[in-house]
Amino acid sequence: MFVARWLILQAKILKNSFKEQEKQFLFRIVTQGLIFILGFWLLYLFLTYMFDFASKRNIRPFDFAASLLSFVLLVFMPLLIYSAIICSLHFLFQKEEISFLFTLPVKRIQIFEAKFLQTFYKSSWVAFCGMLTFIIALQTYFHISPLIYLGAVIASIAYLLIPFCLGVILTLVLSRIIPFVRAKGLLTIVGLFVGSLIILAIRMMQPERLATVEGKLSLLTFMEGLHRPWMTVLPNEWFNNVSASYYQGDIAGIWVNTLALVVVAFCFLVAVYILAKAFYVRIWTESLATPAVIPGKYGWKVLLKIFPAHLRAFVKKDILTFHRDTVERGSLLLFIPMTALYFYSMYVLAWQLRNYGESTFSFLYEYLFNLFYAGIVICGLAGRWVFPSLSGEGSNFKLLRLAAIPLRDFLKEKLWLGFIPLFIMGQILVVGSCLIMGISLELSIIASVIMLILTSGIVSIGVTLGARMADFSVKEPLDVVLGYQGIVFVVVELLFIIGTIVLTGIPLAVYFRSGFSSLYFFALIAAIFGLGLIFYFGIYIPYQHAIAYLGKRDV
Amino acid sequence: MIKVKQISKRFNKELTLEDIEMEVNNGEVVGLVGPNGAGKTTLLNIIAGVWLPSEGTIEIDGYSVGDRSRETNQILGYIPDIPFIYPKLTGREFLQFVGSLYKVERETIDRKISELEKALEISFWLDGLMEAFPRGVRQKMMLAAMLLHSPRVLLLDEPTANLDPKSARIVKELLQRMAKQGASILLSTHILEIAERLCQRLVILDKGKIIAQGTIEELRQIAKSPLSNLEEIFLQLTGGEVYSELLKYLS
Repeated sequence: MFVARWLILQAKILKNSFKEQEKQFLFRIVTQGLIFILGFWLLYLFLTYMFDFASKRNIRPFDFAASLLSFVLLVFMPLLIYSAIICSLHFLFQKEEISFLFTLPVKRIQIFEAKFLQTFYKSSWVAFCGMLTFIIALQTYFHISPLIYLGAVIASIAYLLIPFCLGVILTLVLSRIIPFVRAKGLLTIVGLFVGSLIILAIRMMQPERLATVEGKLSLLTFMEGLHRPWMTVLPNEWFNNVSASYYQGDIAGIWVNTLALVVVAFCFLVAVYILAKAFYVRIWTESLATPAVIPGKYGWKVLLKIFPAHLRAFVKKDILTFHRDTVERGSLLLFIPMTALYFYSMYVLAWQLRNYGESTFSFLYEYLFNLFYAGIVICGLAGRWVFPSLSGEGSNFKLLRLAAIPLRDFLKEKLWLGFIPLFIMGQILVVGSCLIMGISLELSIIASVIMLILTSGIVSIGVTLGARMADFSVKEPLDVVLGYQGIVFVVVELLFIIGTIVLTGIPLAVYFRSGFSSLYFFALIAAIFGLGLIFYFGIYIPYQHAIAYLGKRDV
Repeated sequence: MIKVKQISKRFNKELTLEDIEMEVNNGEVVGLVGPNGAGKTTLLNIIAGVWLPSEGTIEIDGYSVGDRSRETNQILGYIPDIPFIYPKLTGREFLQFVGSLYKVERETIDRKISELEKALEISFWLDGLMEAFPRGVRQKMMLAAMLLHSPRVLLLDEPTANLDPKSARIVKELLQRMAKQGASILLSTHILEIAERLCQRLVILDKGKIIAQGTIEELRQIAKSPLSNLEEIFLQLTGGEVYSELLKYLS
């Protein structure tokens, strides 16, 4: 059978890649594996800690766990659909491979089935590992029968198949309606759609009830108080019921909910099969057509003048590439809901402040939390565009290294091009939120300065790590973000943001307590010194190393 | 002038190139020929400075490539077998970008583009996005890009591989003209007819080693077959036994 043979071939390819670069590959696999295991282990620790915390507050920990699981799955559902669309646009229509496969004496629907399985694996394995971690936490904490693993694997695959099939159906139908050459542009609409769904899901959870200074307790009461009767029709609730039934030893519950998941997943699979039989070959043929885009004139040349003269060629190239790439441009839209959510949260925080009375502690907490949150948004933007930008050069990096312009200039351009939009974005977030929260002018200026420090650090770390861990062989720059490099980036950026917030928060706390005292000046000098150390040892020196490394490594 | 001195390259301990020693003088076109996997692209990548050699040194017009100085890059032009392209740039924007990478003045870039578009017959493609270019056009665009800064040393990996006969002829004439003006040109090719007609000297690589180098006449003497053409010399030097096995199989 072709599908089985093809899957064995994929396994052989993986095995051969081990042989090819044994040491390097093993090192990557081990590091990547360790980072993932660490991530899932931290998730496990967090979950068991939260269960403990709930039981100490006389809240039934399993109810809490069930609510948490159900809502996490619900919020991730649109993300899984989005991931399915991106993966299916990429894997189901791979030009060279499918051109070859179509020449084989194999039914084309079997080729689709093989690619479907590969796409499903690529799109869903991380979510599968996350769900399994949750189940491990449940099983070990609540001493549920180990049979839950068997049920969880079946239920997880069935659950994941539902958003995945939905994504494939959307891709097939929309690519049939709109020419494939423009199908990637669809991501713009889909991105917006996903963003709206996430907002909807988060809005449903009423996050304002979380925004109290009490922190964790309010999270628990919030989770406990969630109303979800109508959600019984959603697959996240069926999955949740499977685990609950194992906990309660309710055999009928296990069967009913697993069956509900499997039957729905099967129905979706049938729908995918019918659509694929009707459309797949035709869409694939159309996908081979080259786009006949005639680039128009651009009226932003004057903007180039804000960049140093020797960097303008790079800037122009990067802006034009970004501007003409519908996927890149489209994914910008995802940040509209993110920004809206950010301002909404700040509005809720301000509302909470008014309700709880403006104590110094709560005010400082909210003030710094605002900066931290804004830092995370900027970090998200940097992770999407700044960090993978160097790997995005691909084999063209050879051209840049052979140029008469030093690599230092090229990285400088990446810094500038990342810094300017993120600086503007960061300032909009901070100034906007300060206005919403009614923060004084002086503190707003300080927040703006802290945001400047955060932005410059976040961008510099993005460029440095992007250079040090550049992978010029990736087909899509996003592969770097989704690989172990992305995890390293997130960890380093988080450490930097937390470090900066803590360092800048200390003199502010001292000021609120004792005004312009000698202790305040000491704290201020210590904070400046600490930031200097972070920037010098954490950013400047690694940046110089990254430049030297880029100049020496084989491309 | 290119001077390659005892270059070796290892990938994961495996020796891909071993003790390569050769020169390309000013005004000379040297052809690099050899079977697939002989190490031609590796050698060109090392001479260009894309990869570092495991051992040995390379000098280009007196500058050491190992230093990766801007001077070396300024006099060098490298056209790889798979041309560099930026899919979302137009041909003209790409040429302007590459020109600025080599610090060529904007006016000079525009003047050279208008000369090259006629010479290489790329006018039709200049204002279209590169993602829609056929391979041959990408190759010509890359050649045009590398000629903008008038390099004194040109490295070409299979320069005529994807070109139609007319374009291949144009490229050959262009290279001959550049050599006459004093440029040193090293090109790898599988098309022996091009190597024979275009190159003053040939370097035959096999399994990472130079097995022969010299003019056609000198190669005939090495192969001890005074009347044979380059194809026969090549087959004799790079595995006559395999060739006769193949003929046996085909018959």
